[in-house]
Amino acid sequence: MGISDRFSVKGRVVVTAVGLLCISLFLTAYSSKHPEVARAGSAVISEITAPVGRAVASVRAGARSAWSGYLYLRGVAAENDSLRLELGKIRGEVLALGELSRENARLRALLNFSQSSGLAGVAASVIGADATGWVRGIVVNQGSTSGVTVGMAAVHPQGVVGQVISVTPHSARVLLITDHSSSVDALVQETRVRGIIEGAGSSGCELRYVTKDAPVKSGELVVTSGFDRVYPKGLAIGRVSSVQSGDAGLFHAVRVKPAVDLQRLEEVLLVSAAPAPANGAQGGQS
Amino acid sequence: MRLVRLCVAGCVAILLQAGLAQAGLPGYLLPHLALLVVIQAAFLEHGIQGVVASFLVGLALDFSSALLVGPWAGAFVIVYAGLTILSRGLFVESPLVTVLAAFFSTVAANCFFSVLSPNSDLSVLGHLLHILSQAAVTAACAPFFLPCISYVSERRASPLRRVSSAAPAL
Repeated sequence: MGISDRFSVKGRVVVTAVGLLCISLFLTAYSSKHPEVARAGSAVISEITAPVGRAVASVRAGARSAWSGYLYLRGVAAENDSLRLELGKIRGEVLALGELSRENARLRALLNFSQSSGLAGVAASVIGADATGWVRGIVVNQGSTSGVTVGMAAVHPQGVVGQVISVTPHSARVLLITDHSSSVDALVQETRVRGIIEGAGSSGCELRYVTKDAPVKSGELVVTSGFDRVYPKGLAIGRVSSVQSGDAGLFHAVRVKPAVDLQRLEEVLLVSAAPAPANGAQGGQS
Repeated sequence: MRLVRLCVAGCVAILLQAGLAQAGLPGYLLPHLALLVVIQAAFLEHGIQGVVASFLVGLALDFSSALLVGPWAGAFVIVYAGLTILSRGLFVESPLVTVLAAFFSTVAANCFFSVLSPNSDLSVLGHLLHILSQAAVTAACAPFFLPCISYVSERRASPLRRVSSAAPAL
């Protein structure tokens, strides 16, 4: 390849790159105004990757069970092999039963929560997480064939988890409340002070637009107001972890620690959008 | 054929990233494996097929997040074009070069993404720490991951050809 050919190849690469860059900028601008484009593409990707996610999850579970059961016993003396193998199998079964029992307990808690709160929904298991590391989201194993739709709230017996942002026939993507794009209409339970919960990444959440004259203290429970018509009223979001009131500005800086441990989430309940409460917030402020 | 191979390698890298995220690895420690596919494609001088593959892999990564379409596609195209221009004259099989390329490419791609993404609430310091830590992890993975990508995407190309193509033209 001659020098002119090399420059020609480099030039074509640069021209193509500039063209594709323009397309990507156009797509960014377009998809920010039309989120259904991203959801449609995500549906295709999720439909392809969900089986892989399930396979990875089952392989992990199998590997853990194998390590605890059979591999744990490798290297024992030869005369005890058969007995220990038997013991290993039994231990494996016990561990598997224990795992099933714990899963059963979690699902029972989810069912009890669904019945006691009157929220009819779809129970789903977490099968994946966001690949980029920039978006705080999870993938669950129930999709449109189970009745899941975009906009449904993902909840847990301990509180609010997030909102469904895209759905495929067999999986759905949930944006967690700690993501920066997430917002929830909320009330401080004791004082009925109203605000908007916004994601703050690893710091948890922030309760925004709470005026400085509103009484908010650390440790108070923040619940959903139901006014956003996404989350049913009265679900726990988290507890106030700190309140800062600087000299400047009109509002408190209120940090909220989510009620649900979002890192160790295994099952969620997906519930339909709730109608707005009729009576409104009593003594609501901001 | 190269285009298909690169796209497959990119998709596998995205699946691996998702698997690591699912395993509980925090975002700032998540290696950008899909970007390593783009870096290797640029090093191996895949030309227009490489830049198109970079765009498609970036698009797949955008779709995997379901929020915005385009930022990663644009970032990957910039990284590919930049490395295609800069890699001429570099001994691209040196581990030091791959580590440095991976580090600075991750910084560049993440900066581009941060500018276009809606996460404006994250502080500048938070962004910086996230970007630098992810770049460091990606750079640490590069010497081990790039040969695997090379094997998948360029099985028939001889090492001699790649080294000679990376040297300055006489």
